Amino acid sequence: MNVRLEGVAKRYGGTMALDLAGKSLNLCPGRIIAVVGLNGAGKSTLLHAIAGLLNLQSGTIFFDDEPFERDRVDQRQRFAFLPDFPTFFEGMTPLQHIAMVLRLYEKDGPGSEEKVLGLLKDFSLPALARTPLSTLSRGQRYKAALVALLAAEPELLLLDEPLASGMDGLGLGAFRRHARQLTENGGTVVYTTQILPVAETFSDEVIILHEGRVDAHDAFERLRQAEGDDLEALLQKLQ
Amino acid sequence: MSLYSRAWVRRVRRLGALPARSWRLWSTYFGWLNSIWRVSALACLAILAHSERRLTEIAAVSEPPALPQGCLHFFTAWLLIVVLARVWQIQEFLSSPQVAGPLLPLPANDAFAFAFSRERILRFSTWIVLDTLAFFLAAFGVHLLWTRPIWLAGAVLIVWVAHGALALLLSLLVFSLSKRSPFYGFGVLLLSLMVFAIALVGSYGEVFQRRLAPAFPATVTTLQRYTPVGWSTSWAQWMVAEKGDPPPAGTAAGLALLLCSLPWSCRALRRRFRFRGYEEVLFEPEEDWEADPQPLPKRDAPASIEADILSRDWLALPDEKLRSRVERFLHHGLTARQRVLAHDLASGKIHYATSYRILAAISVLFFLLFRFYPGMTGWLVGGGGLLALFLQLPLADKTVHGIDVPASLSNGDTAFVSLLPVGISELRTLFNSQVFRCGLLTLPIFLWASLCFSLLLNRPLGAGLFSALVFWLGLLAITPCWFIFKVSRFTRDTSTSVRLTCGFFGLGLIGALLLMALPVVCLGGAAWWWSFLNLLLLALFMRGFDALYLRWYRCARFDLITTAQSS
Repeated sequence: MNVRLEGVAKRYGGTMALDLAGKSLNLCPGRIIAVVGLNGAGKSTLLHAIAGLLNLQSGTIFFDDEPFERDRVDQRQRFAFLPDFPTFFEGMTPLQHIAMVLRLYEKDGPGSEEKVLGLLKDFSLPALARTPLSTLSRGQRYKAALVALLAAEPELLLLDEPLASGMDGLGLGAFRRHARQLTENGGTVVYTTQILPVAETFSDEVIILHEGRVDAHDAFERLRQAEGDDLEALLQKLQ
Repeated sequence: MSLYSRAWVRRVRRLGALPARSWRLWSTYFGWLNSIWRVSALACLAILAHSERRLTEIAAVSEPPALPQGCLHFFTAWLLIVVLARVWQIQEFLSSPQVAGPLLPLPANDAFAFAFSRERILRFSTWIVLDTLAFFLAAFGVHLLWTRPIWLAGAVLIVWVAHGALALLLSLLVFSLSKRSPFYGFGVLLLSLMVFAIALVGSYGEVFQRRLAPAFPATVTTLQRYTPVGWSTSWAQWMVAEKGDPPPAGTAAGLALLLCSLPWSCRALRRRFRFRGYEEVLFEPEEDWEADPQPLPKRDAPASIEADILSRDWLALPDEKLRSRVERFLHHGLTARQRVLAHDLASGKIHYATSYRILAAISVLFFLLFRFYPGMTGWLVGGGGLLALFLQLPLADKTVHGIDVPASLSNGDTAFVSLLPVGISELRTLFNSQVFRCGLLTLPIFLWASLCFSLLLNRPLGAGLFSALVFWLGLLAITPCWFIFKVSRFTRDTSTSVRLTCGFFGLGLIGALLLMALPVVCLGGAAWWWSFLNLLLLALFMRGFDALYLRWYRCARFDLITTAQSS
């Protein structure tokens, strides 16, 4: 799914959190896109905007050249958003939560159980599948939420700070494998992070945000070639 | 050890269970000071009642008959009831998941969690009933002190102003610390002031009537005779005129009963909150749930889990689990998609079984079906009066994103609605609380209305039924409707819709003020209608202020602690 943001702007009080006025941002399918920037640069706001969680001051978001309307179920079922602190019905178990998500995405058909079982194993969650979410650690909860969304196989996966989610190394490895698998099947993964070395190795493109504006958007290698010392200075600032 | 003692607070603080600067501790102090004020106010009135000059003055009053010994009995009863109400209030407060959740051991199973919720509802209902009873008794007491109105009213007002300033200051502090609405405390203060004002006006009706009746006859009549507190004073007048002094033996028996129930209540509280490792236990537990611990749920081995997952039972549609006729009937009104939604709303509490699923089905049917979801979320927060919800919703836009679920609308379209996870799990509690509140207060309202209208030579049965009906409608129907203004149907990001919300709220405010003014120009039955609605409207305003605050809060206004904005 091709995602295009046209002139999108979001203001919190007097602060412009996201400012793409007069500009366009294109997210191509089949890519893993890392969004980096300083605190308050607008990374989470960008994901929230794409996910339809914000009332935008201006601008339009297009999914495959079709304006995104938050009220349209068919469009919403094409993407999934995972905030840095996933929210659950606390009394649910991971399995109940996954079942709910699959039903909402209408992906609960035959074969889904095997897919879920495989994902649970990859994220080392089977033993906790019937344990209330309220009793799980942050990393375990994040894994449960991630498994549910991966099982739903969205075309666009938006993740807020997955690398700082409390997941262990096993979970992070599984996440990287499944994210890559998703993009190989034509999906798009957009995630925010503060860890530049990871973004450099685990991304096809990088979006550098600064004060709500897109300072750079390309593959890291091409950015280095094009920007030269300017990019190095910018990265130094981000480090 | 008293619940209000400094030692108790110090012990909890020392153990680190409640941080010193936390809102919990401040709230404890707030409740403590509130109790002190009530006792102080009572003492002032009791001193007035027992001063020789007052007795002389009361004895000189011929109408209504003055009964100083009745004053003593009733004020003593009031004191005990107020204290008892505070105990139950603190029980309810402490059993809030936000307060006790981190301290309590994990519930052994859902049945225990349900029992715990049920006990919370009982505490909440008891607190409300006791406070209501205290208000009526206070009105009766003021009536018994009926004599020279000026300085007695002045004394009451002085106490109230001092209390009001303290309450407002503390509530601003406490609620800003806890990111809760300061209007809640302020609204409670306004409501309390109104009740006392009406009590005074009702008690001094003769004076008001002499001075104000020529100019505002309808207002005087309405306030004196057609408000709940007016009914209580009318009842008091009737009791005094017809029955004479309350028998001292009966009063003594009532007081003894209260005294007996007080330690029982405290014991129940301590048994529930006997935190192992946190608090020293000063008594031997009896029938304590911890004394006979149930085994924690066993975690299944991966092999059995694997078999379970492959069986697809966990993906089963809700229809297979429907057993209740009521549930099946309700689901006839839902589309297949809405049935899934109703099931998902309840699936987190699967052991709550039929009643919870029925409630979820009702919610979907009556709210989502008509795009009333914003109303439902507002109702969750404002309708039940549970402090826990006031804590959670302001945080929703900051840290809680909620879950978006699809719902089929009545016109055939499908839309996503945002769902706060906290909301639906509290819906049942709130609904039950409302029903409890209505149910417990219906009988006294019915009786007072009937008695009042009987004294006024009107039809008592009709009046009683009507008042009960209005009461139920007010709490169960009008309250949620009030919140159906623009909350942002698609998202909880209200930063761009605040102005609209304010405008809508302003329009409602003007309309409601006009409605409240109607009793002044109405006579007879219409005045009765509007005076009762006045009470409901004021309560709704209180909730409305909170709703408005929540929207402002999300724009980082009124946030006295943090100014950081999410990126």
